[in-house]
This record gives sequence, structure tokens and C-alpha cells, in this order.
Amino acid sequence: MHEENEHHGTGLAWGPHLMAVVAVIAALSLAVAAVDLWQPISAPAASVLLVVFPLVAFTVQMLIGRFLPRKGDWVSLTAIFLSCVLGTWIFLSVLRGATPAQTQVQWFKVGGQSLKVGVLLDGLTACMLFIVTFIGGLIHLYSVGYMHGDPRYGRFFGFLSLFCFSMLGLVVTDNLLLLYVFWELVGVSSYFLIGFWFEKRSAADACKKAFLTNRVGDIGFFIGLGLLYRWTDTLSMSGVFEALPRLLGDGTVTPLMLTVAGLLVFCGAVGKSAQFPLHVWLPDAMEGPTPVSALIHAATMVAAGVYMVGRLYPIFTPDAFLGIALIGLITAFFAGTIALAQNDIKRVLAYSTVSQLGYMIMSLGVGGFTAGLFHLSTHAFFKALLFLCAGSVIHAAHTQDMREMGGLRHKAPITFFAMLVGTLAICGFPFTSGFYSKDAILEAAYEFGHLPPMRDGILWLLLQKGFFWVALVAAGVTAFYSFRLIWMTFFGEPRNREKYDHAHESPWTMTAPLIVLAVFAVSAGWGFSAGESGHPWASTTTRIEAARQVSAPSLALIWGRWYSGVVERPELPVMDFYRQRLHRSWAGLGPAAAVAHGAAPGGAHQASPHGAGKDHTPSVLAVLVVFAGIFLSIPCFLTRSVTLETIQQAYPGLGRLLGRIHTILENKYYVDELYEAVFVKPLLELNARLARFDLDVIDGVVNWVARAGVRLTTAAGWADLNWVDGLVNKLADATLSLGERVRGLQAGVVQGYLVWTFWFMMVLLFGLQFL
Amino acid sequence: MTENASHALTALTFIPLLGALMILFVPNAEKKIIKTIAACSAFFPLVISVVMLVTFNRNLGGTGVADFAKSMQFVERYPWIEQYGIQYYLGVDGLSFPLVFLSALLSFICIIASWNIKHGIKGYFALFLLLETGIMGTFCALDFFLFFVFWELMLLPMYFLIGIWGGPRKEYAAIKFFLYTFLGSVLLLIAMLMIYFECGRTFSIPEMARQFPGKADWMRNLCFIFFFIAFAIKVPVFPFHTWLPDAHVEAPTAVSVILAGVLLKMGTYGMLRISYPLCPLEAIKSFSWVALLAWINIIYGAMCAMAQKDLKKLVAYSSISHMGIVLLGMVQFNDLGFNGAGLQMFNHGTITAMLFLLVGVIYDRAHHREIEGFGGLAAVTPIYAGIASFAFFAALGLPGMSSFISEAMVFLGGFNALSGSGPGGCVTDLAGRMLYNPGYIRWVTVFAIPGILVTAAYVLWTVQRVFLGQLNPKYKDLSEITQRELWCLVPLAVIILILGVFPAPLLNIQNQTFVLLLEMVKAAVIL
Repeated sequence: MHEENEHHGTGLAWGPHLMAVVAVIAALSLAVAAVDLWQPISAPAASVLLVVFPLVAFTVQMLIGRFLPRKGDWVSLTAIFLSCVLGTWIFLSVLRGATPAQTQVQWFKVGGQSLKVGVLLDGLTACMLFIVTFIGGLIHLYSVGYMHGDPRYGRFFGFLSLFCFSMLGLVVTDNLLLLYVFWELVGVSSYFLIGFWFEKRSAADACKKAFLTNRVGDIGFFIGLGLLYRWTDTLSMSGVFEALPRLLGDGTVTPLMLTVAGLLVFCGAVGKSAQFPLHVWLPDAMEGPTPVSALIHAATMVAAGVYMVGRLYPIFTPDAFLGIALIGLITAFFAGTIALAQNDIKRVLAYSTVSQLGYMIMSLGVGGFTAGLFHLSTHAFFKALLFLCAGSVIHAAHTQDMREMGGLRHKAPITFFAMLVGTLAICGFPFTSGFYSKDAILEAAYEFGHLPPMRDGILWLLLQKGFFWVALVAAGVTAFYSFRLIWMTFFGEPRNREKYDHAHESPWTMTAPLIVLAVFAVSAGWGFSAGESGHPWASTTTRIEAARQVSAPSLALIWGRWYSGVVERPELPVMDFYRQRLHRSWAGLGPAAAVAHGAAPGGAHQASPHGAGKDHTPSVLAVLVVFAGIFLSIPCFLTRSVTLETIQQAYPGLGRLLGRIHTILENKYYVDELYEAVFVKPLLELNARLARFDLDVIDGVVNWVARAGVRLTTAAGWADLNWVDGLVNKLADATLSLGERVRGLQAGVVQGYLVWTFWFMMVLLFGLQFL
Repeated sequence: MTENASHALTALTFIPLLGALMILFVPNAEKKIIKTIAACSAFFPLVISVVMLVTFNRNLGGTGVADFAKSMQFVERYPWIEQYGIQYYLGVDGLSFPLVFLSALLSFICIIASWNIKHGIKGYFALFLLLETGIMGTFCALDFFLFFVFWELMLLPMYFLIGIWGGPRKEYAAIKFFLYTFLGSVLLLIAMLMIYFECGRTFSIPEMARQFPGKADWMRNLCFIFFFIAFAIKVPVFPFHTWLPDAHVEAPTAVSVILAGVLLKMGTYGMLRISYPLCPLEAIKSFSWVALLAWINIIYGAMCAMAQKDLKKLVAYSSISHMGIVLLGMVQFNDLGFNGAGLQMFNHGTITAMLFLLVGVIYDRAHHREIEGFGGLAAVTPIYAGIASFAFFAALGLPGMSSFISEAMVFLGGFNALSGSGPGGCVTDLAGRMLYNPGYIRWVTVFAIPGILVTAAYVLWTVQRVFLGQLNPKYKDLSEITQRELWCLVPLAVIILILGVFPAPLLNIQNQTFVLLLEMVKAAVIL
């Protein structure tokens, strides 16, 4: 494997690269077929096993990794391969109509209550399992080439395995507390991997920042969890879902409280999915090795927030959803604009990830459940692809600064083609995967805008309508910066001749994953249909049966079709409650009204806000905007006929404005600086003050008491010496002097004794008279 | 189990004392013999406690104070000074046994960790063993007088261990520690004697628990306050905490380990063993300021820790923060809170022991503890950095490590504290006066949870300054952790990991005891 890698690494040879792809896919398919044939274990058991494999690999790696041949990379590769086999198999069995499976065991018992944890296997889980293990496997393979020669090569694979374990655990669990557990564990694996090259100060800073920023969100998550636990007395997701509508009904939980709890839980997603205002850690996380950026900070971990919102969909209230959607929208737009002005290839991708995550979150918030989660899956493919391509570019050009690149398409053609495919997908170019998912999101936003207003007032109406239009603009921005990246990296004249001359295509372990992912990036959307009957706010009956028409898995890559057949929106009784009780304008949209109008409940058209027939406006607009973005980027970055300088010459006023905007964007709206000044510095200051307070005031009091005690005792000692002891001494002295004086008496003269005796007797007798 | 059927607890308590006496008869020059005796006399109690762990009855609990004495295991009960009703009365339950086990384990580890003590070996090990006897006795005693004797017995060796083998300001630290603790002892003594005379001249704690809650209010109030101060000094609860950083910084490594790992638990143990059963109503009524102090401990401790420049002081302040979590669990009066508090006591013992041992390792090599003075050590000492990161992440409450479970239990429990039939779930007395307010606890919990952020901040910042970044060239030849040092840490790490994934073994031991304790306390109020 190793030699082969060296051998093919140099020249351009499509053949071996493709053969490697075929071999990898064939091995996977064979193994999956074997499991499917023999069915040695049940699906829940398999899901536990596939979580455990990477954990075993991590343990082996940490304990004896150094002594293994090839530093034990094959341990991690084997583990993820096995997980991938099981993950694919579970996905296939769910696809064939296996009912959602849930198994629980008791974790521990406190008082009379036991905490049960288990796995929940439904369509969403199965899809996530496949994505994580499949992309994870490809990235393990890629890392073999990318991390080759690193002094801590083995350890890297160990951490990668730790991450896979945590992420898979996060996906399969059915318990809120366990979700939080794995939530933090993915955070810590991310910490280790961002700080993998810890000698770099920037990397050490970045990993700390990532962890802490996430913890800010997690505080909210945990408080939300505590509230849900308090109301429902359980931490099992299904238990919470069941209890909430009842509690809302009997008034134990007010809508406001539930909104607050939902938003608190969502805080966790804001941290993990790098949503505004906690997005600051993700771009810095690019300090980690590129495979890490691809797997963790693009495809899977950062999507965990989106997954969590999807998983906990039934707990959110309309107001909470509105908040979620707003955060998502702000993030999508805000991060997209920052990406316009970045020059580090990985940072551009990082901001684009933030922006796309914002899209997904917004989609979930406006009711596009399947759309948002489907975008998660397509994004996982094309963004992993983009990052791996970026890694390949960095590997080839030995720089991350796009200003030093250019013309690389000649040097690294496989990478170039793959990256072009990924870019088209992220832009939402027609018939690539991103087109389908983004289109679905925009449709959902459009539909949301056409719902009856949630509240009275023109501002609310504008807000509701605004989601679609801002998201549309963000789509254009995406196309613009994505092609900026392509033009600057692969086209034009090489800007750094020396680096260009040394550039080369990467070895097959790196390109094979690119090719596989490129195929997915194109085809993953085919056959997708949102599959829901109308907007969930209007009707919560889940889905039309037609979407389930996919039965046997076919050989064609129709991920989109599979996806829409498998992932179904859960029942939303909380939304039902709202529709019936609170939003009177929505009351007419419920199933009851639909029945009254003679439409069959659950019918496809029943809740469509403007009658039958699909409205193609969002799709058409989306395509137009994407093309506009791409075309605008050509003069700016390919032919370079329109640049900041040329604008400044032609229109100085506009140029100055653009320049100013560019500076703001380049500095990421100064958010980092703001946080530093508002949170970090004051906190450190406060800490120092408290420590001084502790030392000076509290300990000061203690020391003062001690000193006062010492003074008091000194005083007492003095008094003792001079008064008490003085008295004693005086007495002693007196006795002594008396003795001195009395000594004269004892002169040895017997007559004298007799005289004294006589006098004493007299005194004694005199005294006795008084008794 | 019948009384006096097993003498495990006596053996556990007095084997170290026996070892200490033996050491006194060995000449100072025979260092190896002294160390061997010390190691053996700490090892036997560990073996005994492991055997007890296996045979411990996990189902012994009860529903009221009448079952208190019956819920004890391995009971030994003999008259001691009969005319005053003083008994030699030992026994353990789910509250004390985990701490007994922890003490046995840490004592043994500490003896091994003190292997290269340079001067005064004889005195050091003899005192250390004497200390162990005091600790074991305190945890096992069920007779208040006996408890007090052992409580005082701990003080003496601790004073000398800090005062003789300590750092530059050892005298100051030792005297501060001694006086502070002694103040507590005096209050404890007064309260004890008051209860003794009030309860028909018995020192038996279960008997006191049966009688004393029915006695006069003013007396219970006074005793509760005395107990609280006495135990709060040990925990230590703000504002009685300033002896701790000084004692830790000056104490030799092993003494710090025992101090933080075991001695701090004496405070919370005392509250749960004595204050709660004896003054249940006061325990409930005092919720507001105890919870507030718990909150201050958590947040203030963590923030002070973040400002420290000395690594050992940082760990000391982190102890204050983590013990605040125990306190917060204790004022919730529910299963989760109590069990979480109990678990946190044990977990903090293992984690903080690891941290102090680790600080000792680096101090032995670099001869300083300035956090800023290191940097990039992960590159030269990867194993040390690895296990240190493990311990630090455990302190941070990372899931998968034991402290996460206990912290999560306490924080979750805070949302569901004891509730009664009053407005807002308050517990009220017959006149409708509020005794306990779960809503207040909820808010305190909400404001305490950000403590996990501050904790994460100081832990990660420390890890970064010590292990990450550019290697400080001064330490490019720093030697890796030795086998002996490593094997002191590994058992603790294993326990932390096991309890982090399967807390059930420990929870099962303590669960029934806490159920009983909760019932005993709740009996004081009408819900």
C-alpha cells in the first residue's frame, strides 16, 4: 500500500486512481452484502457495535499504537471500515422498510428512579450513520496520504477514531443526557484535533477557543435539558415528546416556558454548528489538519447542531422556531459576506460552512424539516469534497494563501475537476446535489412567507416574508465567493512561480476519496422530493405515502430518493396545540379544517397555502441568482477587469465605500475583537480582582483576627507577667523579705525563741476568742 | 449482619497505627525497612476495604430514623467508658464506605508517592500512618465521642506533616490550618456535649438522631450553626476557605493529596452524617444561605483558580469550586442531589489526588510551579502530558469521566429539589411559613451552571500554558514521568474512567443510604 502510494503519487494517471476507487467501493459492497446475507446481528446491536469499533481503535492506538507497524493507522482504518459496513447495512435495512427500532438498558439507578439509555434507529439515524461512517472512512483513507510523515501520525488516527466514536454515539442515542455526553465528547475530540499541531501558538489558541465557545452554548443546552427534565421527569427523548403536549394542555408548562426551554436547548446547536453569535471558533479551527477540517468542521460534527434540532423537532414552539430561523438566516448571510473577503483557502471554506449551516438551521426553523436535513447530507458530501480538495491543493502548493496560487489546474487536474464539481454543488448549480437541497430550503422559506402571519403587524409580516429573499441573496453570495475561490486557485497566471513549479498531484489515497465524493456531490440530490404534505406549521400529519415508493435499493446512486423515502418528519403535537389554541389565524389550517373542507386528512394538497399546483417561483429565482453570482465573479476574479482598484478609478465614491466594506469583511465584522474586549478581558480582570479580594480581604480578615489574637495574648501575657505574676512575685518577694527579716529571729538564742513563742500564743488565743 | 461479627473496621483503623508504632522502633537509618512497613500497613487496609467492597450489602436501607442503626454494616459495638455512656461503636453505610475505600486507596498511593522523601523519614511515615488511623476512625465511628477523638487525632499529624516537611511558609500554613480546624473542633465539642446531656447521656449517633430532632428549637438551631461552622471550615466553605490554598501550597505532595482527597470530605461527610440526621429541620430551613454559599464556592472558587499563577494554588482553588457542587447537591433534598453529592465527594477525591500528584511530579523536576514558567511540555514528555490532560479533563467534567456524572446529577437535581404543598412548590410549616423553596434552588442551579464554563476556561488555559505552544528551551531535557509515579496515577485514572462510564457500582452502594437519609430529613417537615 505504501509503495504503491509512492509509485503512483507522482505522475498523472487516472487509471490507478479509478481502480482504487472501484476497489474501495467493491470491498465495501461485498462486505455489506455479506452482512446482509448472513444477518449475524440485529440492527440495534449492529448500531451499538459500529459505535464501539472506533472506540476500540482509539484505545488500542493510545495504549500500544506506538509499537504497531505503520504506527497502527490500519487499526483505525479497519474500525471505520467495519463501522461503515454496519452503517451501510443498517441504512439498507431501514430503506427496505424496517420499522424504527429502539432498545434500552438501565444505565444507573438513583433513589427509585432509573435512567434508561438506548439506541433509536429510524430513518434519520440511519442516514446519519451512513454519512458519518462513509465520509469518515474516506477521510481516514485520505489521511494516510495527507498525514504521511507526521511525527504524531499514529496519534492522529487515534483521535480520528475517538471522534468517530463520539459522533456515531451522538447519532444513535435516544436519551438527552447521553446526547449531551457525546455532544461534549465530539467537542473534545475536535479540541485534540484542532490542537494537533500544538507547537503552533495559533493552533493551541484555536483549540481552546473552540472548546470554550462550545461550552458557552452547552450551558444553555444543559439548562434547557434541566428544565425539560423537571417538567417531564425523564430524559428519554420519546418520553419528553410524549409528555410535553399533555403538560401544555394542563397548564403545567406555559408556552413561554417551553419556548425558553427550546431556545436554551438550541443554544447548544448555536455553539456546535457555529451559528451567530458563537460562530467565531469555526474559522479558527482551520488550524487543524485539513482532513479534520473536512470531517469534523465541515461534514459531520458541525452538522450535529442541525441534527439535534431535527432530532428534538417536536419540542419546539412556533416562537422558538422563529428564533431558530432568525439565527440561521443571520448566520447564512453574515458568514457568506465574510467569505467574500478572505484569502486563506480554508477560511473561505470555513465561512462558507458556517453560512451553509445557517441555511440548514434556517430551514428547520421555517419548517423545512426534510429540506434542512437533506441539505445537511448533501453538504456533507460536497463540503468534505471541497475541503479535501483544498487539502490536496495545500499539499501540492505548500501554501494556504490563495494569492500565492493560480493556474493549478494544469498541475493537479484530478483535484481541479473534483473541486469544480464541489463548487458547482455548493452553488446549487442545476442537477448537482446542492441544487436539490438548497432549492428545497428556499421553497420552505417561500412557503413560510406565505403562511398567515404569526402575529399582527407589518414588521412581523416583513420578517416572515424576508426569510426567502435574504436566503436568496445569500445563495447568490455563495456562488460569487465559491467561484472566486476557483478562479483564484486554479485559473489565471501562477502568482508564485516557485510554489507553482513544485506543485504536484496527490497520491491515490488522497485522490480516490475525491473521486468518490465528487460522484456523490453531483448525484446525491437526484430523485429528492421533500415528501411532506404541505407546511408542517399548517399540518402536522407527517408525510405522503408516495414518498415511500422506494423499495429495494437500486444500484443507481439515488441518495436523494432514498433520503426522502426514509427520513420523515416526526409528529408535532406541540405545533398542533399551538395551532388550535394560540394562533387563531392558523386554526383554519389544521386537519380538522381540512376535513371540514372535504379534503382527506393527510392529503397532498390539503395544507398548501395557495391551492394545488407547485409554485416554481423559488426554484426559478434560485437558479437565476446562482447564475448571476457565477457570472459576476468572472470579471472580478477571472479576467480581473473589475477589481477594487478599477472601481476606485472609475467611481471614487463607490470605490471608497466598497473599500471600507471590504475592510470590515476582511476583519470579520470585528466580532473577535468585540468579544475580546467585552468578555475575555473583563473576565480575566474580574478574576484577578477576586483573587486579590481573597488574599487581601478575606485572608486579610483571617490574618487580622490572628494578629489581634496574638496582640491580645501578648497583652494578656504582659498582664500576666506584670499583674497576675507580679502579684505572685510580689507575694514571693514579700515572703522573701519577710523571711529575710524573720531570719533574724532564728538566731539560735533559746530565750529569743521563747519570747516569740509566747507572743504567738497570745495572738492565737486572742484570735480564737472571736471564733 | 449482626454486631461484632466482623472486625474489619477495627483492623482497617488500627493497622496503620500499629505500623506507626513499629516504625518508631526502627532506627532512622533503616530507610528501606521503614518504607516497607509503611507500605504494608497502608496496603492491608486497602485489601480489607476491597474485600468489604465485595461483601458490602447494597440493599440495606430503611424508611425512617428507626432504621438508622440497622442500616449500618460491619458494626462493632463495645462499651468503652461506661459511666459516661461512651462506646466503641464502629460501622459503615453507603455514605461512609466509599470514603473509607477512597482513604485506604489514597493513603497507599500517597505512601508510594512519598517514596523519595529526603529527610525525617521515620517521623514522616509514622505520622502519615497515624493520620490514616485518624481518617479511618472518623469515617467509621458511630459514637460521637469516638468520632471526636478521631477527628482531633487527624489534626496533630497533619499539623506536623505540613509544619516540618512543608515548603517555605510551612509554619504559617501549619498554624493557620491548625487554628482554623481547632476552632471548628471547639464548636463541635460544645454542640456534642449539649446534645449528649439533652439526649439522656448517650453518644451514639443513631440514638441522638432518634431523640434530638424532637428537642427544643433554640438548641437545635444553635447546634446546627455550630456543626455547620465546624464542618464548613473543613469543606471549606466560603469565607472559611483561606487556610486551604496556604496549606496546599506549603504541604508536601502526598499530604496535599490526602488533604484535598480525603480531609475536605470530612466536612461534607460530617454534615450528612451528623447535622442532617440530628437537626433535619434546621438543615432544610437553612437552604437559602447554604445554597448561596455553595454557589459562591462554585463560581468564586473557579474564578479565583483562573487568576492563580501557582499551579498548586490553582488546583487548591479548583477544590473549593468542586466542593461547592457537593454542597449544592446536599441542599436539594432529593435523590439526585444527595447521590450526586455523594458521588462528587468520591470523584473529587480521585481527581484532585491525580492533579496534586501530577503537580508534584513536575515540581520535583522543575523545582517551581509557576504556570507561566512552562510551555510546550507535551513535546518532551508526551506520557506525562497525556495523563495530565486526562486528569485536567476529568476536573473539567468531561463526559466519560466520573465527575461529569456527579456534576450532571447535582445540576439536574437542582431543577427538581424537594417540593411541598405550599405556593410554588414551597415546603411550609403548619402556620404556612415557608421552610424550603425549590424555586430558589432552581435559580441558584441555573446560575451555578456557568461555573462549568469558567472551569473549562482555567483548565484549558492551564493545559495550554503548561503543555502546548512552543517548548520552553529550559525544559528541553525534562525527564519523562517514572514508572513509580505513573503507577500511582493509573489506578486513579482507571477508577475515574470506570465510574464515568458505569457509575452504577458506586451509586448502588450509596443509594439506599441516601434514600434513608432523605426519609429521615423529610420526616421533620410535612410535605
